[in-house]
Amino acid sequence: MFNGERPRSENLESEINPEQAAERAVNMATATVESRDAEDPVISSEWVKNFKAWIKEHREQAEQKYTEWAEKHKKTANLVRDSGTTIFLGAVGYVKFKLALFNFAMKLIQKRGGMTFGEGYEIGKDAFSFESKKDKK
Amino acid sequence: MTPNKFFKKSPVLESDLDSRIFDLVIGRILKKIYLGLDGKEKEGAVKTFLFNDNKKREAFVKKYIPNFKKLFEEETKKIEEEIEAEIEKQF
Repeated sequence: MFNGERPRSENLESEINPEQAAERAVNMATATVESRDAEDPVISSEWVKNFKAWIKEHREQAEQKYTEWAEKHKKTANLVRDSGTTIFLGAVGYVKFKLALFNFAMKLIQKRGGMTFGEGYEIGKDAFSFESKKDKK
Repeated sequence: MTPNKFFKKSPVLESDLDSRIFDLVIGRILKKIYLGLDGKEKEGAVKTFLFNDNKKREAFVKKYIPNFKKLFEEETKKIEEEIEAEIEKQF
C-alpha cells in the first residue's frame, strides 16, 4: 500500500541520473519550441518543408565535401561553398551547441543539490512526467 | 561521465537533435524572408519550392537569402536562447 513515501528502489534510482535528466530536458525543451513553430502558417507550409528537405540535401553533400577536405588538409573550417550557395556547416558548431544546452541543463540539475535519489526522483517526476503536469492543472 | 563522453554515448543528441535544430533554424529564416517579400515575390517563393527545379531554387536563395550564414547564426542564437528558457522552466 502507498504510504506517502516514494519507493526507494535501486531500479528507479538507475532510471534517473543527471545525464539522462539533462538529455531529456534538452529534448523536451526542443520539442516545445518545435510545437510552437508547427503552429506557424509559414513555417509549417508545404513550400517551407520542401525547402528544408532541399537544403538538407545540400548540407549533406557539403558536409561530405567538408569531411573529405578536412581529412585531406588536417584542419577545420566552418564554411564550404556548394553549388554557389553558402552553407553553414554545423558539424563543429552543433556539437558545441548541444554541449552548451546539455551543460545548461546539468547546471540546473546541480543547483538542486547533489542529485540524491530523492532529488533525482523529484526532478524526473516534475519535469518529465506529462501525466503529473496535467494533474497540476 | 563528462559531457563529451556522454555525447559520444547518446545517439539521440548525437544525430536527432542536430537535425531538429537545423529544421527550426531554417524555418525561422524562411519565415523572416517570406514576411519581407511583396505579394508576387511570395507567390514566386511558394512556386519555386513546390516544383522541383534546382536552378530556380538556387537562384531564389542567391537573390533573397544572400546573407544566409549571418541569418543562420542569428536564428541559431535565438533558438538556443528559447531552448534554454524552456529547459529552465522544467527545473
